[in-house]
Amino acid sequence: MKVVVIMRRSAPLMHIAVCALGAIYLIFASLMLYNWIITVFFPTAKLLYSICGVFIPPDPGSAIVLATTGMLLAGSVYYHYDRYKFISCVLVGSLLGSAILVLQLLTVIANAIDAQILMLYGEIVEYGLKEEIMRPDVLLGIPSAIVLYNSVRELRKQW
Amino acid sequence: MSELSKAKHNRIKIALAGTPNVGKSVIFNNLTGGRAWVGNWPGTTVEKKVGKMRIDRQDAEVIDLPGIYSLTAYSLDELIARNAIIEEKPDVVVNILNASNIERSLYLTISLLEMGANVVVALNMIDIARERGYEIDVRKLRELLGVPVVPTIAIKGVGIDELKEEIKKACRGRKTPELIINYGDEVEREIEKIISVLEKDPALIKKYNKRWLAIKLLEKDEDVIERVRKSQVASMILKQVEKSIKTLEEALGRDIEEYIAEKRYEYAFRISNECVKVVREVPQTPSDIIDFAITHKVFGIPIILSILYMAFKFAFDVATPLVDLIDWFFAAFLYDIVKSSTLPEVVKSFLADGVITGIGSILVFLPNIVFLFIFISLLEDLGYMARAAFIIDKIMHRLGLTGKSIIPLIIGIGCNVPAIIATRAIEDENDRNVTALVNPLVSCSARLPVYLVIAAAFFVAYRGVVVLSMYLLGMLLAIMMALLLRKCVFRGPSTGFIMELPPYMTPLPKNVLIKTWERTKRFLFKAGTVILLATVLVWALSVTGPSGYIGTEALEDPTLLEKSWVGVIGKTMQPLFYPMGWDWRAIAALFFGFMAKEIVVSTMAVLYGAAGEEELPKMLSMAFTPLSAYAYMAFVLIYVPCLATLAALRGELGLKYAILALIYEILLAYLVALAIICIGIPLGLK
Amino acid sequence: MPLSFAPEGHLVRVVCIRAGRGLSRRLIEMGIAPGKVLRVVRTLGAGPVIIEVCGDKSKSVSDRCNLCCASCGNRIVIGFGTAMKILVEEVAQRE
Repeated sequence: MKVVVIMRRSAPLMHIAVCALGAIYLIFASLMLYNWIITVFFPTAKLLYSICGVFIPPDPGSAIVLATTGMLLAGSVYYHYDRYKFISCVLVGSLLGSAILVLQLLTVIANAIDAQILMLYGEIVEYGLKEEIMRPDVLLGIPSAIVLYNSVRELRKQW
Repeated sequence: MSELSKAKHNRIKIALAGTPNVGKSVIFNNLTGGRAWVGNWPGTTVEKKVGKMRIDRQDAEVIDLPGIYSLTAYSLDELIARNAIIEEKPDVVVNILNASNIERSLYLTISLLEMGANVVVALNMIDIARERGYEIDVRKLRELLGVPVVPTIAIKGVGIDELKEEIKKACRGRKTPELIINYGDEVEREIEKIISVLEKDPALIKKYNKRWLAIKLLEKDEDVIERVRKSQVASMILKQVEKSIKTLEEALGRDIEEYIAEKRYEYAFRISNECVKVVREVPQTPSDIIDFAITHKVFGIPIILSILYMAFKFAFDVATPLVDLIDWFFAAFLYDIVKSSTLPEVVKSFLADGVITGIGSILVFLPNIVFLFIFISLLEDLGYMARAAFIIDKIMHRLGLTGKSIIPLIIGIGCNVPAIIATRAIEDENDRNVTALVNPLVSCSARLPVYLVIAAAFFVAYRGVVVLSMYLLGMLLAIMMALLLRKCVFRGPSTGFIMELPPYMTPLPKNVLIKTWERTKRFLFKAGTVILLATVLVWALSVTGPSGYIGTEALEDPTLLEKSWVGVIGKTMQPLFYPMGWDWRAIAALFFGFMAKEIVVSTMAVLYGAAGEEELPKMLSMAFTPLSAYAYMAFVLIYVPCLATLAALRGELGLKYAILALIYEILLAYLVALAIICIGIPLGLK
Repeated sequence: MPLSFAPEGHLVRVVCIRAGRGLSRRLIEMGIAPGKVLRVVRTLGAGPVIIEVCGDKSKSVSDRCNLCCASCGNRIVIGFGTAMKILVEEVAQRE
């Protein structure tokens, strides 16, 4: 009961928070896309390697996922008047964001294991753990997961 | 009759019938313990699953019938189910209903009862019905249908024991509840007339339920008409039927078939009305809520793209350690063991360069394919695929296909073989054929090594783009060919796309794994054996030549290799590919790639004298130019489906279309490669 | 108007089905026949639709049919081509 009341009172706040998260997602997505375009079409130009310690990999696929997540989260405000539609967007958006977080972490683990295996060949492979983790999809995925948890709870409440 | 055949003859048979998505496989697994023999229904490509169940100390056969909505003669699945009931005469038909959508399920139940089958109803998914706010009066349902009804939640195992009890009871005492739907006075009169003529042939009456026959004849059911033709009084029967149909269509003013189907549905509706009570208002289920964003006009497609990207990332990035492990195991570990052993040189080479390399090259793909299939099976069990089909339907429509075609195309990115088998789900024959024929153009994972190697050799900086461009090229060509084929070869309006939208359900790990295994199995056995044989064949053709046995040194010495069969083949075909500027080795590799595209890289490694696949890029850069290499990649993408895929095409579509695929792909490949060269040279890209 | 153009969220009644035998049959089995009421759950403009069959249930349920969706039954996806063959008319919304 109490939680419901709190949620309702801070509802507009939640809307703004989610929208802001979505906007951040979109910003990073465009940065990643920018980097990718540079790498592909202008190999000599300089990359935007990192911002405030967050590396920006030139990964177009990831950019698409982040952009979609951003669209969904930010776009949810458009439906602020309808509880169900709002929750739908937030839920699916945060789900995507959390999914890519998990996927990226799995990739990091896989790379680590892979490096060990390649040693059997006598190959020493370096991999930058920091670069793999301090990425937008991972870092933004954490607030995403929190939003996901909350929206699932909201959803469960009504049935 | 011997004891054994007597036992077989008297063996109890149980058939499972139900609509798709109703939980039939789960109940099948619950009854049979999951052990099933999978084969095909005779003369078809539809899967037949049979298991065993203990009843009264006897082994009973449990047959899983295909998922169907009714028992007409229109779809192959329905015909198979119907014939199974008529010919195999199961002692009990377990009809599995979807409690959250009873009237649709009841249509099948009524059809079964009209046939005179001995039915036990399993009312599955009552938990979902409860979630939606329904309560079902099981006793009333039992009363109205006249058969035992057992509520179940198959996934959790609830109600299964009671179901088994009812099945046992039904086996012992056969109840034939006569379900009589009053189709209206006029129709009933005609039914009586037809029955009186049917009774003139006692053989017919004995084999089939006479009322069912009469109704089906009125419905112009082609299969029943064929069966009746075999009777001695066939002409009399058919004449009466013709007369009746004419009378009725005049009296009712509409198509008698539609009328009967409608009446049946109304009956189902009435029963469900009396038994289903809306206890709670559930404005929107969670599935419905989620669907809003997923089927959103704007968000829908980006979501699909995102999911696709994640599928690939999962299948390729996360699976890499396994891939490298397997690669090391075969290419390094086992290979070295054999090579350093004391066996005779030929045997060593046969084992190492032939068998081990062969098996290794198949298994190296396995992790990628398995992971991809896991992801796809997860999506399927989740229920997402139906939404994806919905979103993409409009685009597909422009190509002359329907949204359902997207699923095999996605699977095709992993391996074309299970993808072509997946086209079975598409009802419309034309759509199915086009989807299957176009499938090989969608890059399968076997071609990836070729792209990677060539990209590594020539386009190091732009590697990602180049590989991506291949996939895009494939998709583009697939779209073109789909349009072409649909408009010219497989003409005809589409039967259309209707699909039940299942609610989202948490995928059960067991089911996902079973599905994945079934698909992987196909890849392994069909493709695996072929690739293994092919690699051995390549080996054999490399160490022998027109002049006889050359010796295993040929594998390391390109000049010797020229004299082998492989060299001869390559040299002979070289003139054909003059404009592309590919040398005989590349062509020989293409030739062997026909058997399985995975081999192209290993063949090239052997032919170019590369010590291992890592050296290959270096060697290649001396034999190709970037342009000719790109054209080569395109050729590999398009030409000829691999042998396993051809076999699958032949199995699903028939020899004629398999050959069509072969021909059109070679031509297309040649044209595209040529086009690339022609466009590239003036652009100065040489 | 064809089903694919029906406005989202509205109730429509099937007027007629312009389809061959096989398709008509399948539609009827799904509960889509002349006279039946459907609820257009989702539509992407001129394209495929997701509908819910409301049918003509007993009074107590159909009275609530305008507001609720799940109570009426599972949803069906109908592809573009098929949706074009189903002609419907709008049903007056009861409040």
